Amino acid sequence: MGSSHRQAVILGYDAVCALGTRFPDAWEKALRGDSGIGPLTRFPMDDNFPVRIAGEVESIDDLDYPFLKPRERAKWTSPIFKHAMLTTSRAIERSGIEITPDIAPRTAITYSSALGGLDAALEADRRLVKENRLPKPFTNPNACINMVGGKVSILTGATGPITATISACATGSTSMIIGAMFIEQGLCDVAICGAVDFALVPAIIAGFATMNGTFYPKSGENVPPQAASRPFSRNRRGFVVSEGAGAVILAAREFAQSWGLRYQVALAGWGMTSDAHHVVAPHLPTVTRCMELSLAHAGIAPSAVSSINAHATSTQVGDKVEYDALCAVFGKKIPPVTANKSMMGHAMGASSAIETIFAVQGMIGGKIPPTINYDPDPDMVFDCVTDNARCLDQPYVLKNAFGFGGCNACIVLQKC
Amino acid sequence: MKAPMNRRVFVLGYGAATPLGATFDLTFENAVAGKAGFRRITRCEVKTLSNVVGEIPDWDPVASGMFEKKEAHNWNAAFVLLTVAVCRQALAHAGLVMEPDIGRRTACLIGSALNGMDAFRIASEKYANAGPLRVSPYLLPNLCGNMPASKAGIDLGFTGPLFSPQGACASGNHAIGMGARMIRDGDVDVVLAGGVDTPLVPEIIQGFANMGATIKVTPEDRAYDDPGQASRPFSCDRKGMVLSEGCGVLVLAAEEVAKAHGLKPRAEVAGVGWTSDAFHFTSPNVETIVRAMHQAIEDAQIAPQDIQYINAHGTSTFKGDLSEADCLRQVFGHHLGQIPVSSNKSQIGHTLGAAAAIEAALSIEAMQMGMVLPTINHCPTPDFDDLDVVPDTFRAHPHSFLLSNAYGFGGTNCCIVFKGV
Repeated sequence: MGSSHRQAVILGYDAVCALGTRFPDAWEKALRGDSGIGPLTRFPMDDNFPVRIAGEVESIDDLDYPFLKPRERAKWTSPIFKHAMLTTSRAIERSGIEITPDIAPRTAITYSSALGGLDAALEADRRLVKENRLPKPFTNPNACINMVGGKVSILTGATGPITATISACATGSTSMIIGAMFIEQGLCDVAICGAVDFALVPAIIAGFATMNGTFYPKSGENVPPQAASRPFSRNRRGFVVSEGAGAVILAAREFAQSWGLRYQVALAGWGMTSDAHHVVAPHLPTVTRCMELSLAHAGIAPSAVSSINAHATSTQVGDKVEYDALCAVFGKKIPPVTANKSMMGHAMGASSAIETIFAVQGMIGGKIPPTINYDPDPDMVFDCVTDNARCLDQPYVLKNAFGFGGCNACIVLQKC
Repeated sequence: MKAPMNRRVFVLGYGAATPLGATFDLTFENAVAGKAGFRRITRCEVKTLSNVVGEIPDWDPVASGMFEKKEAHNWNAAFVLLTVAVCRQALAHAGLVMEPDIGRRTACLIGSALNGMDAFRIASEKYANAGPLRVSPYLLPNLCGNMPASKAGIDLGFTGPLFSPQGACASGNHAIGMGARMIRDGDVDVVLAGGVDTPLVPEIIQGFANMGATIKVTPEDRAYDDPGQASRPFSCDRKGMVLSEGCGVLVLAAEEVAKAHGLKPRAEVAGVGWTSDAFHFTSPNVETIVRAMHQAIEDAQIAPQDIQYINAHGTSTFKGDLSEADCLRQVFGHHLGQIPVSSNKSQIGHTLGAAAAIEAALSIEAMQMGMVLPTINHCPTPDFDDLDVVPDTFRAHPHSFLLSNAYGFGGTNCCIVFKGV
């Protein structure tokens, strides 16, 4: 172990997801094993549209925040902006930090998104093609992914290093890793991290379906939406696309201590690898190495890990490779595993940010939410937390995230 | 936590594809010759006077021999295969062979501002005209910002950290800055750092035109008959940027990797400065830009007067260039007149996320040859009479410290100091 005063600790966080727009409520629902999956209603569709269900986030427009005023919403048409700003505002409130002019230059922003404001680009495309009308002036800013961080910077006044590091479905974790890395490197003392994705756009959902990624029911089977996302189950049949956002405020341990800011969990280690293998299929050796690197960085043995918050999207290949990698790292002693996507679906780049927040909340309260819809797969024998939330003290939790294009990001969380 | 290593970081090689040429060598040769890479758009039809753009000449993935026809069909976001080609070029230029041992210690960080917007357009068209089941299964991979780097990894075999650092028009410097820090601190040994953008689709061109960011070439404009004159940073009649496509990738490595493999360093990454504006989503902010330059210079452990060449962001917008000059005056004071300042965007236009990486490569190559590249299309104005913009022709100018500036929409500023070796 090197010096730990530059280690990143978590000061505050907030998430919106299919389980709710108030995090404490969403957490209670998660502990109860509720599902946030329902019918897909974001756009009109014909009978042949291949996807019918999604994890939609309920409206936040009635909340009293300046960035939710109708004028702002008219300019920043993509929902990614308001949800990034809402989660950031609340996370900062909860952290108790005030971004004063002294702290602002030492505050970095890595808030990101995997798919960004594509809905704005789609709208511009349709306007131009169908109606021969020019794009709105805010089209390009809406479509620039780094504008999420730009708006967070304007909202908070933070003026340190800013970037949006995209790694597909691992984007949320990469955002926190880069924030922690900036802190470790001394580029900043505080980092506003997170990710947001609202990808329920017709062409995107159709694309997920034609690549056989999304849930498809067995022919003739009528599955309630709540039962569709089944990570690690024998009858898992693809992921359910959902919406969401998660913000995490990190700070150097010495900074938190000198400002008297409370923290209960630290980012003790992380690993990043890429597969160099296949466009979407995961690759066992590099996924395994990613977990190993994160444990080595945290300076702990696999046996010290108390629970695992899995990536587990509910696809045949993805869940199996994750299980095989867990076997390779932990041998026969895989700690209890939970898959939050069983309840909230797959919020793309935002998922790993939201799930990390769930993992942290679970460490603080000594609880692990269940993996719902679980029907054990005989090829994957391990302790999957199922049916009910489990009470467990968790000094170390491993959070996995793997993205298209073979971007792997693993984080070891440590209870302080 | 691991202990910091404080290693020196060298630039071993680079590759580029720009409107001046599909390779770095062609780009540099044409830059030295004072040429511009602009023409009336051929990639698509647009209904705007902002129709002069920078297209990479002769870039055809299949004709290049690097890709199968099927591959080119599937990867219909042009930024994917373009990046693979340029990464290949950069590794060859560096002389680095991607053995598995070095591959696992190699990161690939390729930023972009607008990503695979072209693929999205094709998919929307398919969706509207042929139905949802005809949307390509490759749509999502094409759209993901990390896919250019991912596809390069699949073809070239590196397996270290991989993501796309996005900072709009400063993305290339984000990649270089982050990559250099990761090598310095021992997270990785080698980084392919760069940026790519292929923004020449109608919505984006119209969008920039509506924002008033790009030049509208009216019949009385000097670029009307000679499109090569459309981009004129620091000139009296600058009227907006010229939108271009391009890609640039630098190979960065730790000092001991360069030594162990007998590879020749071309420059050292000496300093990184990085700030955000918290101000406005497009207008620049002098205070935070000045701080980014100061940080980069301090990080290099030198003083402002030690900088001997400045590669300006210089996009050729009326306000942007004024504000950059103000920032330079604040940082360099009375020394500014002695420091050549030029903008490659006069020749290449604005390749958005790729610009900073391309410009870093051009500046380093010029530094090695003891010269500085010009700002072409120059027409003097009292606004900048205290600036030596190296008008129109390259100049012999031995130097060993250069500052490369990049600023992006969303208020992101990233400046890098390179040191000659």
